[in-house]
Amino acid sequence: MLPLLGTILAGLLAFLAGIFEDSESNAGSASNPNSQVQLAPQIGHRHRYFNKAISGEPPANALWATTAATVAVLLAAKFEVFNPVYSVIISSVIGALVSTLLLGLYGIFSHISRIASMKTFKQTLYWDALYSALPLDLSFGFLTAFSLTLLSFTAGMTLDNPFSVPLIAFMLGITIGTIGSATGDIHYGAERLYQHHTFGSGIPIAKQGDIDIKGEYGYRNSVDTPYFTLRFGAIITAFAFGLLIFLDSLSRVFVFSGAWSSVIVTFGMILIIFIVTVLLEKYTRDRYGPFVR
Amino acid sequence: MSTESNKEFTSPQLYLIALVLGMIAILMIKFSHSLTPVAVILIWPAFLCGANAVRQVARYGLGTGTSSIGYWGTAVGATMAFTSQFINPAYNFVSPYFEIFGALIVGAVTGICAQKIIKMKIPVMIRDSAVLASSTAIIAMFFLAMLTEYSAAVFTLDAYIIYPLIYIAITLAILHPFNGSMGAGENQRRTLRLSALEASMTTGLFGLIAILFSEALLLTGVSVILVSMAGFFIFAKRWFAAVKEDTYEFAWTGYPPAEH
Amino acid sequence: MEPITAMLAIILGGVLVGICVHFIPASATGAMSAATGIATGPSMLSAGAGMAGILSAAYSMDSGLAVVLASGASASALMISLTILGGNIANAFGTGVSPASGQTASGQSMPGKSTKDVISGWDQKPYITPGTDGHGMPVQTHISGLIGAVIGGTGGALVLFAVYSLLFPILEQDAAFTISGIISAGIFLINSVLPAYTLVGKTEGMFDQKLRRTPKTLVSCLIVSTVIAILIYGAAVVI
Repeated sequence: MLPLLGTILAGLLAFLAGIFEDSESNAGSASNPNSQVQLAPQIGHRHRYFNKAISGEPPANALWATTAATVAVLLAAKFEVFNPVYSVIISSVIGALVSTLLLGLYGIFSHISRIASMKTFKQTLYWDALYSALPLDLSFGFLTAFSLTLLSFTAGMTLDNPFSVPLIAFMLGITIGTIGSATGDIHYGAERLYQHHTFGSGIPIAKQGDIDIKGEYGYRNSVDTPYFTLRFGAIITAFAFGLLIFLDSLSRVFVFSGAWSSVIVTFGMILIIFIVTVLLEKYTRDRYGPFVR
Repeated sequence: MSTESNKEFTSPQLYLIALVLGMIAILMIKFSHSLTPVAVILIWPAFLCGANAVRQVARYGLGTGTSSIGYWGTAVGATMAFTSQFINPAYNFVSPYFEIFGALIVGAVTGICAQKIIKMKIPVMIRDSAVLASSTAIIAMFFLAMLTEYSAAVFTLDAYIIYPLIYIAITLAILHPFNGSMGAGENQRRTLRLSALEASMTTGLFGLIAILFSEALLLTGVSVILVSMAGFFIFAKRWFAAVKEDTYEFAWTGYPPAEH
Repeated sequence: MEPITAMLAIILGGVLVGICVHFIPASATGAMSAATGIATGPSMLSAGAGMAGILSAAYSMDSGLAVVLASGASASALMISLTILGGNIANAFGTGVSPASGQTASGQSMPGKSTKDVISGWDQKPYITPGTDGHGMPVQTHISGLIGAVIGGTGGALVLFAVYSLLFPILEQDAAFTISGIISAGIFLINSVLPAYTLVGKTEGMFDQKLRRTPKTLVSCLIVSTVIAILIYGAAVVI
């Protein structure tokens, strides 16, 4: 019973972590779409985005998750006398706060420093563009670190992963960063930044940097971004990451042919996902048809 | 590049400073753990050296992100540093030389492969790959020494819990100064000042970890945090002075000039 | 595993990791639906898949080498196929484009001048937005990504198992697990960056002309992994 319960809990936490991670990266316009925000001043679009380029998403998320998990593990050892579940939750909150502090400092430094490097293109440093987006970004960052830490504790304690909890958090951080930048960011980079371009086309290389700088009202800042991407991009990230953790854990619940059963089940799942992907491609080809100008 | 080239530090200069001071810092901690707060100051140049190496390599446009370079360099340095944990205690005297020069060799070999086999045509590839890997090894060895070189009996938890954090915290501190200042107006002075700022931030984080790690490291942790905070405020002031010089204009709020 | 076999396994695992990056379709401009491939850098993507593989392989460390390798490979492949599915959904419903391979459409892919997908036989050319290099992950890149993930996951799990068998005699069990985990992650990250130098930030997988550059990666990864393996072997066994 315990493995199944752990699997469900892990899937739930991974799903939440996916939503928060993608919203965090979009609120700070991190990862690959950041190149467009960087390009914009060069072609004359002075913007009011929060340009939080800490690094690629994988190392950054690995740092938030690992910091939170390391602090949480060390604290949980000190709180051992209390109820273990409470001690894990409380120490995860404190750990996530520490990593949020780091995220805030790194975010402030990169925004200011990147705007300072845009002197040639006459980009002004708007303080309110930083200070209005930062709290939103920090809260999503806190929630990401918190859910990843709890997920690592779940994997280490109920699913019996032999690695220590911070190492699990490190690996999950790299994986969630990769998935977040590979799935959810498409919605931000190809749609949200280019809403004035026609829906139903990729962004031609020649048009890159021509981002939307006007918002629903006034000039757009990064607070508006998660409002948009939460409805689709974040859910896709959560779907991919949550399903990865859930299916991977679920495959180990089966015991029909010893140690090999999880491998067989996983390959069966991969086959199903492959078929779904092919059907999706066929659907879009039939539905959208060839590209018309 | 808006920088006056005669004022730039070259990476061999920085590496020499980082190597000598970093080595002194590590040996100081090995000699007496109460010297850690002083040693923390001596390890900051290694961060500067690593950040500068990332800057030198990444400026050429490698076809891979700055963050990949950062985590590649730290992967070499930190992996070599972690091998120190399975060296027989009887041969303890080879640390930290084995790890730091091991990382130097691996970095140089990677640079040679990139230059000669993949034919990347980046003149500084070999030198700066080696410098990057080695400076991260210095930092990782320092943190390992700070957290584990104490009498092993007092630990409540084993040191391996901290390894992933050592790896990833160094990665970010090394790659972020250049990645965070990227743009046409990037210059070495501001990048290195940001690097010093983030170095003090990272050592402060490890001060906190030291406090949580073991009762016996409480005093060390508090003193490291105090020294790091002092450094943080000094470097923040210096960095912001550079930002003020480089930024086009500051505005509390407002709209960009109309263009349509 | 004997120590000397473990050293050879570390080298082999490093080379497999290097090769896998060539097979996994990835391109950073994919995030703007402007290129075929998963929307992030090749080395980052392989690292993400490899970490998922290593994490999963760790569960079955007691069941012997074959199961460890298979779990690593299957978890990496699961991660890649879910990422491809997620990316295609984002492209289809977020951007409104159907997956299409840019290089195949321009008639420059490995199988020749045909503009049709090698596996599904669907024509790619009409579906490309002019001025872009394709978008999403069509069937042929999906297959290639799965092959790459299986290779990479096997490599990562092999390194994990080899380092664990080196450390098992000299450290207590929990420490041996975690330290071998972080070292195998480190070796994965080292070897996944070298191919990125060769690929210059973009590949469409095994039907891309860049696959011809694999020997360069293979030799580089072989040399680098050998040096690392010798140093690790030296630290764990000799001194």
